[in-house]
Amino acid sequence: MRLSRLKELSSAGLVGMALVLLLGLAACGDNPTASTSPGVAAGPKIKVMATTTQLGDFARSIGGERVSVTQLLRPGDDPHDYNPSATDSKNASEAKVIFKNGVGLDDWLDKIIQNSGTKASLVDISQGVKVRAGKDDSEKAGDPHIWQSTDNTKIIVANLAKGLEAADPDGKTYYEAQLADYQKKLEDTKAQITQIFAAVPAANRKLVTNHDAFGYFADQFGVKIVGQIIPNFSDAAQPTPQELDALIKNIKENQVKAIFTETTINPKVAQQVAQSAGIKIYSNLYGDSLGEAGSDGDTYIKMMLSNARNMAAGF
Amino acid sequence: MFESIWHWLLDPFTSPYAGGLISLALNELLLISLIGGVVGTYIVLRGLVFIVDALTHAIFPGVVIAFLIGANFFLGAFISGLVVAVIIAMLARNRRVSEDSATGVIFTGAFSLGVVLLSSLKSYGRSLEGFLFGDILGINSGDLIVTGIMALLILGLIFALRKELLLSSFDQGMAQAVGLPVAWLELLLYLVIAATVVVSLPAVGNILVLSFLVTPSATARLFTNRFYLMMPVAVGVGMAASLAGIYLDYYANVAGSAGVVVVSTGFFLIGLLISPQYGLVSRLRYRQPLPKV
Repeated sequence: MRLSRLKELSSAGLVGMALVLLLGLAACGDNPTASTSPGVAAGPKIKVMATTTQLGDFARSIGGERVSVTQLLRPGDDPHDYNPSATDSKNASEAKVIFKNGVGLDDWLDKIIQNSGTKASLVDISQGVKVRAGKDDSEKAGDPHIWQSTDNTKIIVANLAKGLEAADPDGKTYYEAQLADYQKKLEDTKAQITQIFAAVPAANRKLVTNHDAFGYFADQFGVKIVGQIIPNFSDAAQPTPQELDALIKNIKENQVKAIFTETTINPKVAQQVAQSAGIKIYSNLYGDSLGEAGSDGDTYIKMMLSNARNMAAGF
Repeated sequence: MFESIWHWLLDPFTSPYAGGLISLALNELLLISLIGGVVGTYIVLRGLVFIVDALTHAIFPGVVIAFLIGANFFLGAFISGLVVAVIIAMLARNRRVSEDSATGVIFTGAFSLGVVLLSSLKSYGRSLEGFLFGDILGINSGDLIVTGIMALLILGLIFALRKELLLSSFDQGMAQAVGLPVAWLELLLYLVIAATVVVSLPAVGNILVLSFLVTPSATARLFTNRFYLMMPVAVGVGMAASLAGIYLDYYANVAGSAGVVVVSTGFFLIGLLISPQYGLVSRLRYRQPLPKV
């Protein structure tokens, strides 16, 4: 009797210990869910919410000291698939204006807006951007990675500035100055990227990536997209044997020199493809997300330049 | 005619493009079928399927923690597999908590913990799918070597302790009477099962691994009652399903190891129909009442 009691206790204890351990680790993994822009200034700031890391950067660049930006995605997060939290609803209800990427990328925002009952005005920054056709049913609205061209981004930030002016009419002249300044930086960035690619013969600019995020970039800078590892997002995100066969064939026939994977995606299949095609693999492009603070892609402009340099080095 | 069939059979593996990847995938699946068939025979005959289902899901949080802190995948899976195997072995010996409810609690609890941990990443879409379904075409020669070594260890251990395992598995009273450490052997069996699950994860993922452990052995069970015959039959069924599953993936242009699971499930259903002793066909033919097993 006593013995079995002891056994019971010891097994219960073990279970308890294991659970405590696991829960402890769970707590460690729990990070603050949204980042707000640094810097404190006098006077109430306009509360602004942006979905993606790029939009967060644009809002901080144009809004400057007049706004406080809540950005939903953290660096490295996948914008195609996001699970809103309760904090997001709270932030949405306090925001004066909310910016979304649109083109089907961040439709999950609709749920947050609904749940929070926010009175914020919603700005779809893709208005006026010429959207490329999506590659399949998972991109019915078109290719959502519109920020990958600096020309598009000029339109995006203009939309954003308009949204800020509507929410904060007093800041109109400030926002317009900020916008002009940023658009000039975009022009500089475009010129720099063009110069980076000038060193690479047009026939060598062939891109294979992990997922198809670089269509706009390719269009703007004369890069040919040969293929991507992950065919679409609607299935278990695995390529079929046939798709890989066709991709490797394509790589060999086009004499592609390298596969570029994005920093956010598990590159195991890509590594295997690179190995069987006998080419290099670089894991250094920023596709869906900006990089962590302090990385060479922690702002939009740094990200574009870093991508261009890394591609040019690999081509 | 013959030649075209031959080509059809060889094409997936001899393609100058993805042939190497597909061969690696097949070899990995064959190794998993080998371990799965042997270990699965214990699982099916001992009625441990539900416990093993729990075990596979309970390994999940360990894998996620390893992913989050950037530690080695196998290390995370092995440690959590170890912890969970010990917990389940102890719970299985506790008469107060019924085995199946304890298992159900651990199973769903641990799996949810894994999902909670992953969602601290907030957006976990593709990584979660990688855990759940594996990356069969991402298997490299390093993975294959690890699986091969684990297969040697697991099968060697089972072979060395075959008498002890058999007796303690099916006649615990007798095993205790002759002085076998029954509790330790039981724990060992769970550890072997955990090791099998862990080594299969990169290829087939968390959800489908159960099928590789259970379906071939359950199919073999329909055709033989003899313990040591069931093992090779189960291994054969698993390997045949792996090969057929690769053809299904290749020719029907579908992704992942789910193809293999579909085929082996098909084998099981066919077995239900044509099994000489328990099959529907033979039962109808001889109009026998349901056999009491």
